[in-house]
Amino acid sequence: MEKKVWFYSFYERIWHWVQAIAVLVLIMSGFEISYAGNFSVTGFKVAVTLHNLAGVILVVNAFLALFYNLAGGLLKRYVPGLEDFFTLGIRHATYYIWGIFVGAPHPFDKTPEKRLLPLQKITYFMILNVLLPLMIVTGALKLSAEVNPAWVEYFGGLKLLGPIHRFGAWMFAAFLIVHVYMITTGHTIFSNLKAMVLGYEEVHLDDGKEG
Amino acid sequence: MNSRLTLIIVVLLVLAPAVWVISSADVETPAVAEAAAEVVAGDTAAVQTPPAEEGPSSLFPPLTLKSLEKAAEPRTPSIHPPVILMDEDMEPVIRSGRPLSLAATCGGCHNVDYIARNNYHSQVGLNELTPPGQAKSGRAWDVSPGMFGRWNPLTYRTLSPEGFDEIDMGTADWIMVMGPRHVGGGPAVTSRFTGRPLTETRADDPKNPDAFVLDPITRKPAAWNWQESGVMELNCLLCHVKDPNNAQRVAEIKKGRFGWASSATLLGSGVAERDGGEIKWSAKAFAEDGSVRPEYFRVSDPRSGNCRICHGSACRCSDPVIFENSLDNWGTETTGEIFSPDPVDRSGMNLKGKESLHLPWDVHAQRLLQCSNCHHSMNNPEYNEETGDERPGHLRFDARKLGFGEYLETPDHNLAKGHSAQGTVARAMDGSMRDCRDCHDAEARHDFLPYKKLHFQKLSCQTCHVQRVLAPARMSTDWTLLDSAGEPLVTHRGVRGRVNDPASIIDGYTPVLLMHEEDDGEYRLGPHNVITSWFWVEGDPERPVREADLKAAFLEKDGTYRPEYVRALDENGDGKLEENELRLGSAAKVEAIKKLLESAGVKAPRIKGEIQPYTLSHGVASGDYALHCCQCCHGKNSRAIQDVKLSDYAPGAAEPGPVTDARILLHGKIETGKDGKVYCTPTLDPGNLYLHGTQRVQWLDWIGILAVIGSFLGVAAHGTLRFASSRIKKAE
Amino acid sequence: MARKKIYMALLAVSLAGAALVLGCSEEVGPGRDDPWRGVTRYPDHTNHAHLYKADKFEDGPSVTMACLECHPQAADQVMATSHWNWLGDPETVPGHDKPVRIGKLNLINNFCISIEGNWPKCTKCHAGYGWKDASFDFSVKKNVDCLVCHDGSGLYDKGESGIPPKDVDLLAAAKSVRRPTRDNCGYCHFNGGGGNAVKHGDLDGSLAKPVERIDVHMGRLNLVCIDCHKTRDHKITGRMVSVSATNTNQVGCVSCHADKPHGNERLDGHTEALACQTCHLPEMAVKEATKVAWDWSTAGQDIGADDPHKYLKIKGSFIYAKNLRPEYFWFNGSLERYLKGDLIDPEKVTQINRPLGSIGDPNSKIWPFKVHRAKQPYDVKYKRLIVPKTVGKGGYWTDFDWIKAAELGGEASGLPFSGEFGFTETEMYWRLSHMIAPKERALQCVDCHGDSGGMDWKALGYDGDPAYVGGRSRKRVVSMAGGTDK
Repeated sequence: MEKKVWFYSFYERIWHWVQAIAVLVLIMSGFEISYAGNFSVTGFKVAVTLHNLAGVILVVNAFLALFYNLAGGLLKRYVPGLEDFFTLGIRHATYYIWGIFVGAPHPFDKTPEKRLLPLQKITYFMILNVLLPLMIVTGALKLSAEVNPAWVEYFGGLKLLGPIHRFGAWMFAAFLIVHVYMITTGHTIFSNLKAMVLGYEEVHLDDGKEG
Repeated sequence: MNSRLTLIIVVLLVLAPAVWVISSADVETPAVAEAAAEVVAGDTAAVQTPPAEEGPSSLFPPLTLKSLEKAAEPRTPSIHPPVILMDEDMEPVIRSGRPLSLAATCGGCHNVDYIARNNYHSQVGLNELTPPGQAKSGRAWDVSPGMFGRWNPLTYRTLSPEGFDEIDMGTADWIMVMGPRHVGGGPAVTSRFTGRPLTETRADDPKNPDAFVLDPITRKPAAWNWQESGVMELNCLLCHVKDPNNAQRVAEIKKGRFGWASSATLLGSGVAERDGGEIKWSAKAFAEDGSVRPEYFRVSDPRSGNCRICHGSACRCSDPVIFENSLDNWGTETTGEIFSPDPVDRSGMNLKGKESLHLPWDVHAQRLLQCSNCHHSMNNPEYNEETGDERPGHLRFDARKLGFGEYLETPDHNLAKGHSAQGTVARAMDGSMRDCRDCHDAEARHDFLPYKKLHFQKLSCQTCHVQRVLAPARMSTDWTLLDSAGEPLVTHRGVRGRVNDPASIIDGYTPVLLMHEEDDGEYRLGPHNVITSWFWVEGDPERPVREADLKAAFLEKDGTYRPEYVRALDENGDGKLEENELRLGSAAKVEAIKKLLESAGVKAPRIKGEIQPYTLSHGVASGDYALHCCQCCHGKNSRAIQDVKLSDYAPGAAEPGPVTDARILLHGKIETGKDGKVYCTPTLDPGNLYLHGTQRVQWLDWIGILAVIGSFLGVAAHGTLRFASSRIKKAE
Repeated sequence: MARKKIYMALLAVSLAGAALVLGCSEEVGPGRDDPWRGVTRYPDHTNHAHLYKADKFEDGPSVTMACLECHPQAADQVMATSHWNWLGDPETVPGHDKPVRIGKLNLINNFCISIEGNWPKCTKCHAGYGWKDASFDFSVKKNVDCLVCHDGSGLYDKGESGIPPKDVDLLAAAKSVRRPTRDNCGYCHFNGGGGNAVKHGDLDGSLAKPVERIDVHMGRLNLVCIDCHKTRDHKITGRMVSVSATNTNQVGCVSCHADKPHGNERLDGHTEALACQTCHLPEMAVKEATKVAWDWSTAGQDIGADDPHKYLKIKGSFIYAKNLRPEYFWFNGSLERYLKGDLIDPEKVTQINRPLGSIGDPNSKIWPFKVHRAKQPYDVKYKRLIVPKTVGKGGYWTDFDWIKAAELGGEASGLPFSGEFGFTETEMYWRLSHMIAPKERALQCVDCHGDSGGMDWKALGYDGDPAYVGGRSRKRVVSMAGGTDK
């Protein structure tokens, strides 16, 4: 007997994949801009246009999500508690370091209400509060040169903003690699991905786990 | 079930890169390269303008059509009233037969004193003299920022100061050497020491450069008779009549007949004729009252053809157009710029890829602009306009301008100028001209360009609109040796083979981008040519070794090489000097040449190198031919950081340094490469620039790269372990 | 659910906004000019190689009869055109009262002057067979020449009176028929005036396979004549100012191109006063020299040598020139026309077909023309241009006797000759439209304006160079702002 357990609403899935595409486009076009002359996929000018476009989409989408979560009162699920850093976090980490290899059961039940695991919470908290704002601010300032280059000068000029933005991009790329890998650590290799595509997971209900 | 899911995943993962790949059309091809692809096969015939009428053949009966005889073009009457040409005593020259005095002739109506004073073309530094050692150029021997007192390695000779040690160029020498490119007046009339006319110079002080010239044979001072030579007055005709005879003017100057220079300008027009060595006024050109008949003499505002006499290559020349590189063609020699409306593809020059160069030499020339449209008189009411800074905020237009009548009486002859690296004279006037942004609203165009405003803030317009110079320009001048013609060793960029040789292919050059201070105080990247010069200096304070001393040391009296000179340089011992031997490539050669110089009386000679940047502002291409390629600047091949070849070699391994009055940040290292050539490797550090794709902070980049690699390795290791453990479990 | 809709709407708005950003950053080009919309793409012509029953055609008319079996309308259609009749529709020629039909059949020019009396040589280029004198019957269908326009073998040829010489393989020609190419039109039109490049100045053999420098449409784009001279029922559009006088049935650049196509306000402004050709035809006779002057009065001298570009005993002295800058006149589409019998003033230059128009005529534009200047015989007593017989028995080219030639020509044309002749100067205008140069070679500002322009602005009716004094419709407005802030 299998049951569909809904994790992600339709909007959440659309949001996720829009954001995913935006980030991919940003990283690839950003790479092309940064290493212009070494290789060319779209050409420099198209890469710049794509990068600006994807950036705008990402920011707008991010604020839409903020509004969605604020309005739905869902924001707290992203805020790690103290226990996420210690007991739960350690238990979570131990699972990855040991349990997963010996076939230990997953230490946390992923439920629609508690869908973010402790380490996930911590990582997202850092990304949403440090990395993403850093990228948005430096990116938006750079984009503002289209309107008035003086603003850029006021905040240290491209000579400061450029390297910071670029460093953030590396961090994002590193996150992306780990993120993609972590998808495969669900119940089955594809169960997390499936959930983000279809919105639900099929859970075996043969042991009367559900009440 | 699983396969369907996999399919969906694959589709999703592929989606983003697919979009990426689909849009991968390269749009950055530069227009010139694109055009080069469409070479017209078998269509190389040059266009010839046919003769309007073929001359009748002697063999065949001629045509008798009257309608073929075109009416002679009526001459547009000059707006200028008839002119009585007068000598300095206000006598009509046609009666006195004496040299023309334009101060007397023009001074009746125009304030010639005002014109001479407000005229940097005439003053050329006379009103900006500095004590030796304090000139902005950084040279110990310079005494002004202008042609009179600022040494130029292209013309080489040094204006001798008061109390000179050895005379190189007395004031009369200066007129003979520099006069061909000087309009007269200023230092050619007035003594820099007394402020009195040079004709009042007294020869009692043996160290007075006004009174002596260099005797090239003895290399000693020789007295100069100003009464006999006269002075070279400000020559209004050079700029204000059509087709002045500059060749004859120069001939008079070279002969030391300065007083006749203005008169010689009219030779060939019918007003004056040469009779033996003398210049005679032709009666047929003069009316009863001594005025010139209007058909012989047409005064006008200066046209580009007048400016080209000294500045070079600005004309609508005969077809096919050929421009030559030489010091007579100063602008082109130093920069490769050609201010001509003619189409490049129909020129007579041996240009690489010529058939696809469908652009004029300069788009402004093609679109009817004259030099004076941008370089106008400062108080010309047609142009004079208070700028936003000067004009009170509530006034949209100030009617209180100079009237045309007043302007014609006191026209300011300080012509509006730009802010070039080489235009060192009258720096106070820098940026006074009508430059690109005064006429063009750049933001109304350039829609293709992301971050327009940022680009306009950091780049001069010329960076993209003078992206390539089509003609050759000088690269280096080496005065450490002389060639068999007694000339320095000169190299050019932009030409394969010898310059001016019709068989050489002219491929032009990509100018170097240098940070240049513009009149708004901003440093912008702009295109430049850099000319590097090497020369011997001696003494303390140092000064260049005189050309006469070089000749005495290296050449016999008949101009052939001295045997010692050949011995010092001849590497293969064949008794001849080949081109590759004629350079100071080894310490031994330097020592040998040094000895030669010392034997000619030069004290402790040493080699000095100097870099003079030349800002490119002419030879402007329209948008179609401007730089459109982003990666020309953004990316690893950025032209902003490309090595610039300064010279094919460094004589005596001397390292050249930039002049200090160019308003340029010559940012970067100057090094002799492994190939023995001298390069400048620019960096963008001094300017507040960040070129995406070109600049990076290396260590920050490495941290990022390591983070990505670390993540990848960690993930890979974890995954492998998981896989291995699951296999083990399965096996169990 | 409602909340989901709101989010979807917001997402849609943001994506639309992003698309707008992308859209705005796209380059806006001058791409509104889409000339290809004016060019018809035809299907391949049917292969006729195996359609003929006969294994040999004896003469031209028998080919025509074969054609008419399947194309019964064709002959009637051709016979309604000026290519057959050498006459246009009735038109009121400026300066004349009644509508007349004019054409090559009855007009005088200042080259070989007239076909009257000289039919066999001139009608070599008639789209028919057998026009050897005034008695030619224009109603015989079998005399229509299909092959001259439709031959694809390249071996078809016409002799005197348009009859193919014996050695022409008519079957091969018939098998090869196809849609007319430049070679077909060029067979006659490249050779106007009796030889390559003589007459037009913008039509010559170099257009058969032109490089783009010579003609951008035919060279770069490989267009053929009928791409522009669109043809329906054998009626070919376009008209030549040398054989017509009114402004109808024109072919123009704007049939395909936008009327302000430059994407540049300054250049588009020029279209008010200039025909496209004025700038885009910087030089005529780009490759082959064309005749610009002809002096009949020197003909008949035995100097022992002939040079077809300088002097022929039968014709007189010539001037040929190439790469020639055209002459410019206001033109509203109509022309004066000297008609046979019109009076002349022999002291003045007689205008054969002066273009009408002026700076004050809003329908006029400045056009480029080739002007052919000539000195030709006139009747001293009757004060009119002579129609001489040149070809054949008694013709000037045979006997070198102007009196006899004028008498015979007078009989043929119905213009009695007084017996006294002289030579008078004439000018004939040839409007230029072919040999359009690639845009890179079009005239630039300095080619007309400024110190080096060399245009006679006064003759065109301007006060001075319009770059400085303003054009005919432009008003210079004094700026009230006195310049903007820097």
